[in-house]
This record gives sequence, structure tokens and C-alpha cells, in this order.
Amino acid sequence: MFKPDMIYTLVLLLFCINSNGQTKGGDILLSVDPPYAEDNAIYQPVNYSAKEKTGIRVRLSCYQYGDDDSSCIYDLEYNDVHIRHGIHSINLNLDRNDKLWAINYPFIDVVKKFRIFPPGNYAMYVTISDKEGLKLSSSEFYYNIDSTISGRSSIGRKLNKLLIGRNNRLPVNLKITQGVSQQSPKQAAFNTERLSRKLSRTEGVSSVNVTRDGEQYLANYYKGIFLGYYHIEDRRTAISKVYKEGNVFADPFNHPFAGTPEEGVSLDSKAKAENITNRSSDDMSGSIDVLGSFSNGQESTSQLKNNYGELRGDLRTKLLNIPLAVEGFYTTQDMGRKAKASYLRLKYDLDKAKDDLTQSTNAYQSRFNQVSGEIKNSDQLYARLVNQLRNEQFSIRKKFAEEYGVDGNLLDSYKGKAEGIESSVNKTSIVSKDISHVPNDSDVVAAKNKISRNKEKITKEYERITALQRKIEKYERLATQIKQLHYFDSVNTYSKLQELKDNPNVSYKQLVAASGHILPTSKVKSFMSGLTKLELGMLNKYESKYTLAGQNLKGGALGYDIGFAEVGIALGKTEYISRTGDVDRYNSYLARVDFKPIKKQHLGIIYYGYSPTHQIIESDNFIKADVGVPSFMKPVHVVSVVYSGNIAKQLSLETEAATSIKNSQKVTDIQYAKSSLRAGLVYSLPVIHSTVKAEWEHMGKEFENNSMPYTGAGTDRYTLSTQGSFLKSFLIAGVQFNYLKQESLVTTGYNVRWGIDIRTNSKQYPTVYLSYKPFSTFRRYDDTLAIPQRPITGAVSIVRGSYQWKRQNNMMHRLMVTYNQNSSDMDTIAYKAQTAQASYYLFSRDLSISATLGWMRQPSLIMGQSQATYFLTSNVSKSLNTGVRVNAGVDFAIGREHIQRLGGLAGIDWRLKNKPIVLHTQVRYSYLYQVNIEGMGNILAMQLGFSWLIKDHQ
Amino acid sequence: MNKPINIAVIKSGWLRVSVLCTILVLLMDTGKCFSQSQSVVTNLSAIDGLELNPDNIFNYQMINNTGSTKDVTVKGSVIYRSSGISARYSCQVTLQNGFNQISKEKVHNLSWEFSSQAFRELFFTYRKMPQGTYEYCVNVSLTTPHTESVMDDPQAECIYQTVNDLFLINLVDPEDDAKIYEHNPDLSWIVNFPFANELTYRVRVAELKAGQNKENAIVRNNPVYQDDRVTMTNIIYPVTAKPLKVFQPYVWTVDAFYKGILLGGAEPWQFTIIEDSLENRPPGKQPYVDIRVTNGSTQVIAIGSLNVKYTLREQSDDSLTVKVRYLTGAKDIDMKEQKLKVNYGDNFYVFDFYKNNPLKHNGYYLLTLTNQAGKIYRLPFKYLNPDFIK
Repeated sequence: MFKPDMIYTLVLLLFCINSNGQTKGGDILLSVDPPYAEDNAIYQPVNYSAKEKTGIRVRLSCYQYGDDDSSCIYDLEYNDVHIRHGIHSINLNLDRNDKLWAINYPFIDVVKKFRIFPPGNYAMYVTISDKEGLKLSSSEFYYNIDSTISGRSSIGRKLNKLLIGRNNRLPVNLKITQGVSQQSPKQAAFNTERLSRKLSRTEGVSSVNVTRDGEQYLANYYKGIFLGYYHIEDRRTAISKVYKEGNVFADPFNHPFAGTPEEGVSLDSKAKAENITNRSSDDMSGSIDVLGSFSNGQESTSQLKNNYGELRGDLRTKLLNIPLAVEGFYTTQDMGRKAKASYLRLKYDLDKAKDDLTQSTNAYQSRFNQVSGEIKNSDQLYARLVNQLRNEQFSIRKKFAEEYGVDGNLLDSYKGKAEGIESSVNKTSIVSKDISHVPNDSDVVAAKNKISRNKEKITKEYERITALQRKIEKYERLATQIKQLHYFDSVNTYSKLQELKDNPNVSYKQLVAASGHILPTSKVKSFMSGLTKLELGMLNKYESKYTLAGQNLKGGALGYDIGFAEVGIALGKTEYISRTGDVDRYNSYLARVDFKPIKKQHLGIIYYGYSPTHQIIESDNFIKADVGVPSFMKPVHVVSVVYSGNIAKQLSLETEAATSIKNSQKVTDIQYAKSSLRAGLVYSLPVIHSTVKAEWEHMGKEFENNSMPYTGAGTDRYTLSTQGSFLKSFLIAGVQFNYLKQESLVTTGYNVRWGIDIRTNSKQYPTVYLSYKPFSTFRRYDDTLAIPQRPITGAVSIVRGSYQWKRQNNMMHRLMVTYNQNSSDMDTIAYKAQTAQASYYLFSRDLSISATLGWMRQPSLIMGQSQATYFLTSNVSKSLNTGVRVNAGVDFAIGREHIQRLGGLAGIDWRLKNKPIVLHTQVRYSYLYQVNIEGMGNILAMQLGFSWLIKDHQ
Repeated sequence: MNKPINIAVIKSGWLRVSVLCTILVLLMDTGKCFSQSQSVVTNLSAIDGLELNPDNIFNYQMINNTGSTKDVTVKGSVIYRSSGISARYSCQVTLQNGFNQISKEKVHNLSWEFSSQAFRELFFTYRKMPQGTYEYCVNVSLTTPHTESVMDDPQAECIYQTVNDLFLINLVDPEDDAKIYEHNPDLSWIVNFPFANELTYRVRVAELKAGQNKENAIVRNNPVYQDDRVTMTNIIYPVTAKPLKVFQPYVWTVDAFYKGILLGGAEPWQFTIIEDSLENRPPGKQPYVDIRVTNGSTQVIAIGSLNVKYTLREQSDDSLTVKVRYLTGAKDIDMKEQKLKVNYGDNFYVFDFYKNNPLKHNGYYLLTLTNQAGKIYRLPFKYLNPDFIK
């Protein structure tokens, strides 16, 4: 029942509470991290656990200390800090203190400017008093910040940028170099000087060249504050390093939240600093494709223009720290067309935002687990250190006893004061090397004389003991502090993230709430955290089958997570494009509420309304009488309820019920004929690994939604299908049954379609696929009295076999044979079309060859006879070492009397070295015998284009 | 809207004004179909919102304001937007003074004119209007024994209607979202229309561009293939048509025409011609196994390659001797790399068996790494050939 991490957390909690009396202020348990900078302010994060709500005073005193001295960084007081019951955290703004005792402004400037806590050893003293000023407790915390500048820190990024140069876009095909390449001393000196100069000019940072362990470093200072060492490398190694650091989340062994627990900084604090730094970085990715197509003609059945250009692009970036995606497409073929293919849309990239956060939380959880292990080690380390120090203390006392012949504990009793020790010496305090010797007065006098002669020495020895004692206390305190930090990490973040781990429908807002302690404060509290959708432009909107069902909406859509539900609206002009190519525009408005799933039950309500625009009746053919459109222009309202969920174990249901309302119809007057309903059931049979699906759909004859891309009014559909896998998924078999009833025109038509397919599934053995789909149409008896019955029966049969094998030379061969037959009978007309095709493919890493030989027979009612055609197509593609791939192919088709097609193509794809750009061109020649036009044609076509993959990590 | 308003109970002045305004608005609303300034007023509201058929096309109202019985000529026109389909009729009606409800029984000397015979058949036989948006207008003029005189303020009354529910075609094969191997697929469908042998079909195949859905692609892109003279319920993609590209998603649909009039169509389906290639092979990213931590305690699965992590902390560098043993066959595998250099810190190694040392699919193997000090680290694994798994 209890997970190991839960037990560990409990143990930690008990340990912390019981072992750390020093940090209790009343009943308050504290944990304080180093301050961090966000939005030009500095905050002191304080985690606490309190048994009751109270108000306290807090004094924070932070000191940087060296071996012999220490200096105050800040010493502040807050008079009114509200403490809530339970485990919480507060961030105290250093600029908004109630009393300032001391502050080191250059230090504060460094934290604000570079978003780092400068390297060094720090001690933080926290004193808690009640409102009247009565001291409740005091605690101390130690931080040991590493002096090497991390590449992911703000200053590290700036330095990387300066070292690599302005054009730091990383080539897509960059290979990461293994290890550190050697650079010449001259080159190192040049890099150092160049970087030092740039740093001074751009950041006001002064730097000094230093050598550590044979490597070149820059020691950097700002206003006299040491910022850390930066490793100078050659440019290529630096690029590799930057690339690695940029992809740090993808690498499970290179965590961004670096540093050992001994630093005394919580994982939450490190992750927060990382996320604040990372937040301000720009991360742009996307692609742009440009294509130009030129030809002297087209095949007679092609509607493409001879010459056209296309531009397609998508760009993902952050604007004001909001991830946005822009997608667009433009084709010159749109000129002169009513329904245009071009589009441009802008959307809030929620997936990107969620992915980024998920990566960060995954990295956090992974690092947390590592830290759990490391803490056990550090505990042992500190225990060893403390023992060692205590031994040293013991040695000093022992040595004192041996030298002066008195009890060593007198050193501690009289705090190293020789006078005190001297006066207290008597026969009982005399220690002799000879156990049999009984102390006498002369021993006492001798000891006193010796003590009197070595007063200074004795004082120094005592000082050594006290110095060791301070170290012991510090290490003990650090060991406790580390466990406390881990405990608060666990409660504040890790356990919350673990709760969401198994929930596939976790929303971005929930994820942000659980990550509250590791994200910038502004992000947690921002409006954007609840935003689920923001889209503008020409959108492909699919909300449900009976409302907005994929048609183009020119407008915008907005979605927001309000906690118990997700609400959304969409507004704009929906374009319905008829099959004749006419464009009808409707003013559309949609509102949607999706309740948060309860026990995997999803429920949503959609309201969709539309009204025709005047554009629809602005036809030249129409009289356009302004007064004659009372109902046509009135809005139609569609209300839909969507539901999906598991209604039993292994049984899931998905439904939608919609009704349309127009004019003065009462909202409660829901009629079956004006409604559309669908329900789909899926049942999984775990024992025999198969699924059964059943679907039913009714679209009422009077259900009205003219803006739907495709209407099926007056239809009832029933579908039943099952698929099972057998013999360890080697054999897969399925059966489908479709029944459709359609009340159209004045008759009712029915059709039935079956589908039976069996296939084997293996790449080791030959695979076979068999499919048989018989179909039939029939009519109701009373229809046939008025209209002659014309039932159609037929079947589609497909047989496919394939086999692949691989040779030792890494070449894969694949052989495939397919046969397809379509037969139908309508009255006395029997009809059969057949195709057969045999293909051979060869693939290796740099070469692919394909050849297809086929035969087809298509009856032609116009020509009065079957047309048999044989065809052959073959393609060869070869990759060259220089990023160039060439391909060439031929195709040939011959009928009974003449060649129908003879063609060839050749193309080149060229990936530019160190540039994410691929150029491609293709030339195709076709000689066609145009059967329907009775003539021959020569078509020469060429395509030119390029693809640019944009990936810019700063 | 239709509730009676009891004026007697309205006492408040402001309320009275607002009720009067409401009545005025209602009158104005009705006036859209019911102009009071004309001598004969036509009101089409009875058939507004309904699809026309031979029974209801005359179900409108006329109010004769001339004060006497009049014979009038009524001209009606049904015109489709941009498709050129139209129908016109002319008939005579005798109007009594005041309100007249017209119906098909009350009209005489009716003559019809259709833009095509197919439209006539569709309208009278199937009692159905073609697909599209149409305008239905009615004009009235006085009829005199020998001449026709236009009335004092002639104005057509019109209504509009969209018909979008004729009949649908069901596509059969290739199935929606099918991945096919045929470069010239056989496209087939079925229909429900009683005169199926009198239908012609228009088959369209268009590219699906990135960022489009099927619904938009089929109507917005120029088709790479369009044949509107198909008479059967299937067509093999001709060799003389523009060759289809491998891995390019296509959408296809079929529209049915009855003697040139569009009757209905199918929802678009999608297919993609594919070829298998080595690029499809798994495994993607496999995790690194820390061999010093697991050291024989865990068996892993290696799909094509085995990723191993080795952490060195004791010294600045070291070297490892690599051995792979086939456990089932109890024999050692000849490894291409037998010595590995180890640096201080974390070292990551990828043993690519797929490329360098082919192993037996489903075979059990043991990787051993021996350092210079003679310490042995073991990692048992099961090898899966990526070519043989799905």
C-alpha cells in the first residue's frame, strides 16, 4: 500500500521534527534557501511547517565567510509574516523589508543582473520572534556554492554566446565531439583575450585569465564580486557543449539541476532558478518549404495549373514568454478560385508549453530520485567527518593531559583560561602515565608551574578545540539541513507530481499548480496557466461531428481551464464549400463546456449557432429582393451533448446527441427528425486479444446544419466490427458489417457492406493479406411499385503477399504481389475490373531500388470493350557522401494497341553542409497517348524547391 | 410573439409606448413579405423555409387590394446560384377581393419551363430540388382579355433556400486512411439511387497539404485527378493520369450526377501509397544501463543495440575488455571492438549489434566488461532484431 518514497518521506519527516529542535520556533519548522531574482526583485524563499496559524517576526542575516573572516551580505527584518497551518512556503521580497540592518548592494546587483548566487560559502541566520519581539527560535543554514559557471546559468549563456559568436545557430547535422579537443596555447590566449574584451564591453564584467589543472579559465568579477570561473574551450567544443546543455532535458544523465546536496540548496530552488533563466530564453523552431512547378502541359485529367508556386511555413517561438505557433500556406493556384487553399493561422502552442513543463518536471523527478540516494551518502560522509573532528578534539585533550599531567577536560571546563585551570589543579585532577603512582603535592605544584609557564599555548589549544567544535556543529547542522531541504522538496513538489503521473488527462493548469515551487512565481499566478486554446486566423475547426466538423473557420477560438471544467468559445465566419465549388459563408459562434473527467467519464456540452451572410444571396443570378428573406437569414442553433467514458470494465462508450432549432421553435421542442445521434461501443476481450466495435448513427431528416462540410441527413447507419489477433499476433482477422438506410428523394434506399480480412503479421516470414468486401443495395418494396428496382451487388477482393529478407551486407529485399478485383452486377450488366501488381524493393543505407510490373483490366462502356494495360515503373535512389541524394526513374504503360505512357524522371536532393537547408529539384518527361482526346502529348515538367529547417536554441 | 395583448390592462404610459413600438416592429417584420402599398400583395411566408416540390410551390397568399375580382398572371422563377439551373412557370389565377390562399388546384393555364429535362424529372418524378442555394420569386401582373398590363407597383417577392440533403455515396475501397502499396489504386464506391445506371460520377483525387484536413483538401485544392465521365462504380487510377507520389497523403471523393445535375456525393477519404524502408526500423532511443549498478542483477532487452553506462570514480582512466557470449549456444561472439577506453566520470557506450555484430533474434546473451584490475561486470540481455518486430 505504501510506496517506498512515501515511507522514506515519512521517515524523513519524523527525523527532521525529532532531531532538529534548533529550528523550531514554537511549532514552526523552517528551511531557507539562498535568495533568487525574478522580475528585477530578489526573493528569499522560506519553506515552513506550522501546527497553527500565527503571525511572526523574522530576521534574516546572511554572511559570506572565508577561512578567517566573514562579511555581511544582508541583515533584514520583517515584522509581520503570516504563517498558515500546514506545510507552505513564502517568498520574502528583500526590497520590501521592515528594517534594514545591513546590505551589500553590489552583491544584490549581481544576483539581479546575472540571476546567480555568487560562488562561496555562506551562513544564513534566521531568528523568529513573536509579534511582541520575544525570541522564539533561531536557526542557521549553510550554502556552499560552486565556483564553476554553469553553461545553463544566465551568465553562462552570455559567455557561451560571446565565445561562439553571433551566429550560434547549430547545424542540424552537428556531430557531438567526444571528449575535449586540444587547443593550442596561442588559440587559447586569443580566445581568452577576445572573450575578456567582449565581456568588459557588453556586461561590465572584468575578468582575469587563470590556469587550473592545466586548463584555461576566466575568473570573472562584477563590481568586485566574484562571479565564478568560465572554462575557455575551442569554438567547436563549445558549440558541442552548448548543444548538449540546450538538450539537457533529453539526456537523462545530464541534469540541469546540477550540484550536490552538500551545497545546501534545495532541488526546488535549483529548478526554479533554472526555469526562471530558461524562461527568458528564446527558442525558435520551424520549417519553411518553397516549391515552384513548371510544365508545358498537364495530363488531361489533372486540374493542376501548368505553372504554380507554393510557400508553406510553420514557426514555433515565444513572444512575451508565450509559446506561439504560426502556420501558413500559399499557392498561386488560388488565383481565380473561389475556394482557396491558402491559409494563415496563429495559435497558442499549448502542446509546446506542456511539453516544456513536462520535460522540466520529469527531469526534476529523476534528479529527486538521484538526490535521495546521494543524501544517504552525504549523511555517512558527515558522520565520518564529525567523528574525525571529535577524534582530533580528543587528541588535543589527551596531549594536554600528557604534557601537563592534569585532566584534559579542564581545558573545556575553564574555556582554556590558564589561571582557572591552574587554580583548580589538585591531587584528584592529576593524571599520571604510571597507573601505580599516587599523586602527591609535588605533582600538583609541578603541574601548576608548567601551566603557569604555558598560558598562551594552552589558550591556543583550547581555541583549536572550539574551532573543531564549530566545525562539528556546522556539519551536523548541514546534515540536518540537507534532509530538511529534501523533505520540503518531497512535500512541496515531488509528491504532487507523482500524484499526476498516472493521469493521462492531466491539464496544463494542474501541472503548473503541482510545479508551483519550481516555476517562476509570475508563471504560476498568470492568466496563461489556465489558457487551453488561443487560435486566430483560418482554422480547421473540429469540435464535434454535428457542430463545427472540420470546416474552415475564419476567426478565433479561445479555451480556458476554470478548474471543474474547460470552457471554450469560437467566433468567425464558417465557409461551406459546395461540391460545385461555391463558397457559402456563415456567421458562426460556438460555446463549449467540457467538465473535468470524473472516474474517466467525459461530458461536454456544445452550443453552435450560425446564420447565413448576405454573401450567399449576392449572386448575379438572383434578384436580391431585400424584403423577401424572413427565415433564410435567421440563425440556426445546434445544441449537442458529447460523452465518452468507460461504462464497465473493458467496455467504453462514445456518444453525441445533437438537435437543431430554428426560428420560433421552442428550445424544449426536441424532435427525433431534427436530431442527430451517434453511439459507439468498444469492448475488449482480453483473453483472446480481440475487440468488438458497434456503432449506430441516426441523422434526422430535418436536422439542419448547412455549414457542415458533409451532410448525411435522413440516414441511419449500423456498424459492427470485430478484430482479433491470434498466435502471438501472427494472425490477425477481422469482420466488419455496415448497414445504411437512407431516406432520400421519395424513396428509401438501403445498402449493406461486409468486410472480411485476414492477414499475417511478421517480418520474419512471408505475410499474406486477404480481404473480401461484398456489398449490395436494395430498396423497399413499396418504392419499387413506383420506380423500377435497380439493385446493385458486387464485391471488392484484395489479395496481397509480401516477403522480405536481409543479407549480411545490410541490404533489405522485399517482394510484394497484389491482386485487386472489383466486380458488380446491376440488372443485366456484369462488370469486373482487375489489377495485378508485382513489386520488388531493395533498401540499404544509401541505396534504394524499386521496380513494379503491373497489369490492369478496366471495362469501358464508352469503348464497348475491356481495356487491358500493362505497366512498368522503376526508381533508383542513391545517397552520396556529400549530402546529395539523386534519384531517377522510368515508367512505361502499354495497352492492346499502343503505348499509353512513356516517361522518365530525374531528381536531386542536396542537403547543404552545416546549413539546415535542403534543395531539391526534379524533372519529369511524359509521352502520353490521350485515350479520350485522341492524340499524343509530350509533357515536360520541372519542380524546384527548398526546405529550410529552423532550429535556434539560444 | 403571438400572444394576445390586452390593451385594457396597460396603464403605464411608458409601457404603453413600448407595446405600441413592439406592435410596430411586428408589423414591419411581416411587411418584409407583405407590402401594403401594392394593389396585389404576395406573401410567400407559408413556404418560407420549406423545400419546394410540385405540391407546395403554389402555397402562397395573395391579397387583392383593388376592390374587385381580378384575373392575374403569376410568374414564378426558381434560379440556382451560379450553376445555371433554373425553372420558370407562368399561370393564371383569379383573385377575389381581399385575402386569397393560392394552391396548385387554383392555378390554371400553367406552363413550365425548365433549364434541363433532368431538372424537370427530378422535380416532378422525385419531387426534389437539386443541390445548392436557390431563389424562388413570384411576380404578379393583371390579365386583360387580349393584353397584359403591368400592375402599378410591380415587385417580385422572393425567398431563399439551401438544399444539401440529397443522397450520399458510400466509398468502399481504399478504406479511409488506408496505407496502400498500389501505385494505381482501384477506387470503388456504392450508391443508393434507384436509377443508378443513369448516373455519371465525378471522381476527384487531390493532395492533402500539411495543415489541411480532408474536408478542406478535397474542395480547396486543385485535383491531381478528376474524371467526371465515369459510368461505373469504380475506376482504376489510370496510367495516363498524373502519377501519384509515394508517401504523399491523398484525399478522394465521388460526386454523382443525374443527367448533369449534381445529386450528391461521398465524404472524402484519405489514402497514402507507402513503401517499406530501413528508416522505419525501431528502436529509437533506448536507455543506458548502468552496468556497475545492475551488474548481473537485471536482464534487459536490446533492440538492435545495447546502451551501457560505466561510471569511473576510483582513478583517472581505465580500459575495459568486452565480451559477448551467446548463452543458448554457449559460444562467444566475435566483437568488432574488444577494448574500450574509460575516462574519469560517466562513460556511455553503444554496442550496435545490428550494424556490426549480427545476433540471433530472441537470443539470450551476456555482456561482460572486465577492467584492468580484473573486476568483471555482467549484463545479461535478450536481443531483438528490429527488422523482425513491429
